[in-house]
Amino acid sequence: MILETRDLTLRFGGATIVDNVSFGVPEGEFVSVIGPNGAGKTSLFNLFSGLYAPTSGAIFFRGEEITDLAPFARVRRGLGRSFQQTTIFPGLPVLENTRLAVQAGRPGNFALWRSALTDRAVLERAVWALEVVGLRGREKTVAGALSHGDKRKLELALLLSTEPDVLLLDEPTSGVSAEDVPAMLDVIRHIRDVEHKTILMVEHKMDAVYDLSDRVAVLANGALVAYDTPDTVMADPFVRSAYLGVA
Amino acid sequence: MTRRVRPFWPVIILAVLLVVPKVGVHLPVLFDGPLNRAGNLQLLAVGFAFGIAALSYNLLFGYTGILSFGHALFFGAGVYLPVIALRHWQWSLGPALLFTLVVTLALAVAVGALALRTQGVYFAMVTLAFAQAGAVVVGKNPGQLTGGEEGLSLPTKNLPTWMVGVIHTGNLYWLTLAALIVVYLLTLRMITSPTGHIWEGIRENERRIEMVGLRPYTYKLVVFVISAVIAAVAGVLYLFLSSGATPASVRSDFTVALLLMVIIGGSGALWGPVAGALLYHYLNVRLTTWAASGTVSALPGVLSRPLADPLFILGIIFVLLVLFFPRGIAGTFVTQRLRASRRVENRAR
Repeated sequence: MILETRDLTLRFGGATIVDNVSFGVPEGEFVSVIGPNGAGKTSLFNLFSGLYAPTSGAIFFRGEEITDLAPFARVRRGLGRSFQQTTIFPGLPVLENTRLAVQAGRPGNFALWRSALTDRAVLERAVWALEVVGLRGREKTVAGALSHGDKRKLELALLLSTEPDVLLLDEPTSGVSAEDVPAMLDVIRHIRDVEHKTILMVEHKMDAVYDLSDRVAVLANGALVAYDTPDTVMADPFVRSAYLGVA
Repeated sequence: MTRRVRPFWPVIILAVLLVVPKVGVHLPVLFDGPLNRAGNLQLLAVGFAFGIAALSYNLLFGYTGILSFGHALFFGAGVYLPVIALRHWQWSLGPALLFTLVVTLALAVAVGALALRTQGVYFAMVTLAFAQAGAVVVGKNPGQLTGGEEGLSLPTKNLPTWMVGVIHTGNLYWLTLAALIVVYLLTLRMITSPTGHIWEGIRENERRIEMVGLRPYTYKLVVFVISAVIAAVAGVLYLFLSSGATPASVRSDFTVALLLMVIIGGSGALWGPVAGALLYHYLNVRLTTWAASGTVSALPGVLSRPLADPLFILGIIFVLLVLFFPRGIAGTFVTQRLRASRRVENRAR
């Protein structure tokens, strides 16, 4: 298990947001997290990436406990994250976005006396990340001027730039126009098949979930109610009634 | 990669500025008397010193996106610490400057480490509180050290002769100009470095910087301390130019003035804050002279009274600039980049 939780619980005041979740993600697998709005999917991701501290329970990455690590330290270990609200550097050119992310993942960030732009290896990697998500040719565009779909792709490129082992994707197709969704899913499939990354994805589009996932985790009211192959999960009567709304 | 041809106008401006103390040319209306009169040289040189301070403030505010209301504390440290060491402890110049550097560093690390635990408005308030504390200490004149409201005059006996007296204003002018050039080049080097790009990233999206595996706090502390030390350098030069320390240099009014200089000049290019500082200081001084002149006092009271205060006119200029050039002088040139990008993207769609 590359990523594992043990009795993970998050409470805000009286409300239980994440309820005693224990599960593990095997290396190289694609796991989708589904559940109705307010089921605690994003909160679970925030616990993984360290933006929330759990009320109780523990999180392990490659067998090592990371429950108390700061967000940046988890990224350093290889746990990358994209957000439901696009999180890029809007005022910087597209290439500088990924260049900065590649630079961040390598040594030499404390250097005031040399130019940041002379490291060819960093530049090549930054261009490669744009290539993967299909943003080549847009290097000089200021990121804030991209269409929403392209911003989401850029965020994926930023994620890849830090060379993570596990990618947490929070609704990567949210806000993407219908005709751009297939391209986005192709990028994600490419990251799974060619880059062989472990991926955890929160997603509402059931056909995408069904198509991409090795396993599906179902959350309801913060608790893990099912965790199995897509076929088994979709056939589960509880899931069908609680989430899919099928009697 | 093709070599970019660098524009040569900075070299021309520099050459002109370098020979100013040797040129007795008259620029009526703009300057009183010949350009190389001590008063005019001092006006320009103080502008340069403020330019250095504005460059330091721009590192924080323009590049990293941190709004500090306590920058005057470090400028004030540069003004007061050397004069205290020189006057009260009879130190010579070298040790006094070293002492200033060490104390400013320690102060910046302490204030930065605490204040940067907060963000946004809270950070602005915490830095303001520190700066106000500094201003109060200076005003209270503890142990007759700061001279209270009177300030302290710069003792001349421990200073090299080339720095002392009105006839040597040209030397101080060159010293300050040289410091401005050095700080400008240093800043340019820093903002194009890997760390400098991270500062820009923090301004653009601090959460994303965290999520590419960097700790924003560390990089913010580094820029805070560097910026504080540069502000202190500007303070030291200001002390020499004004031959003394007055409490105005530690007050938060001065931080606001720095903010105005950076906003007027624009942080889109590095020369923006310098241009803003020169313009601000020039107007501040010249408008004071103008307000005291017969032209203004001859006007009816309704007009002459507000016009007699340079801040009134500066305020109006500031409002107009913000309305019509929201990105400042330099920014007005630089915004074209984003607009051009939008156009290209819209065409592609």
